[in-house]
Amino acid sequence: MVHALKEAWRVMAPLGIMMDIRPLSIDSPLEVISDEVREFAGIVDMSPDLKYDIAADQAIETVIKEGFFIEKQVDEFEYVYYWKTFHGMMADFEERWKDEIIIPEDVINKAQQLYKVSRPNGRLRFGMRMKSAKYEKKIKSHQ
Amino acid sequence: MKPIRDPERAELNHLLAACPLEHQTVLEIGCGDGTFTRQYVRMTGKVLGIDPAMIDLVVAKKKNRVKKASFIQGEAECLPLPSRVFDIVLFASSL
Repeated sequence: MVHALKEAWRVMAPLGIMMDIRPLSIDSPLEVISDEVREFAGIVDMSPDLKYDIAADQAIETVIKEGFFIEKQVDEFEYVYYWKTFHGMMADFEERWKDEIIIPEDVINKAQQLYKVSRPNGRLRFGMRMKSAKYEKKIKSHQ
Repeated sequence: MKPIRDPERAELNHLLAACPLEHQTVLEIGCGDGTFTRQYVRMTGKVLGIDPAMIDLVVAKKKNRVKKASFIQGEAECLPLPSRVFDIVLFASSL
């Protein structure tokens, strides 16, 4: 990862900007929402990918310490997924995030139970935390 | 069934707030099938997407509608590109 960041630095113009936008392994809420209500089903465990977060953060820290970049801004935001069916959501979780997130059994049951209640425009909502960080290329003396 | 992803365009809005793209030459490392690239490409001067997965690049190229975007295969650790070219380098869920 450090090599990738140094390659990014190499191809950047002087004072260029590097953006790192990525999901964070922070436990996130699963909800059932409709035009009328918003109900909490439980928390999804995002910890299996924590090691990748740590590795990415450490790589960034390394290139900053070595004088390649200056941190300009770090921000967080919510990135939301919606599903119109419970089974669609479960299939998607299985296909996309099988080894990356854990949905506790009680959260699955609660989401299914809430979703079964018929409501106008009912859907499942999963909002994961994202990081948005901005770094400026630091000019090294030999460049 | 595919989900509706980020309908509020929070990812794009955060990118634009942090870093105006107008007239900028952008390199997106790990562009995948270009899903995010397509959201911002029209606002830039030029975009190059790079990804190791040819299967994703085929989709990115097929869905691309603008001349100022191009896609190539390559690894982030050894970019087949000249030095000091890009105004913005973007890692979108790829670091």
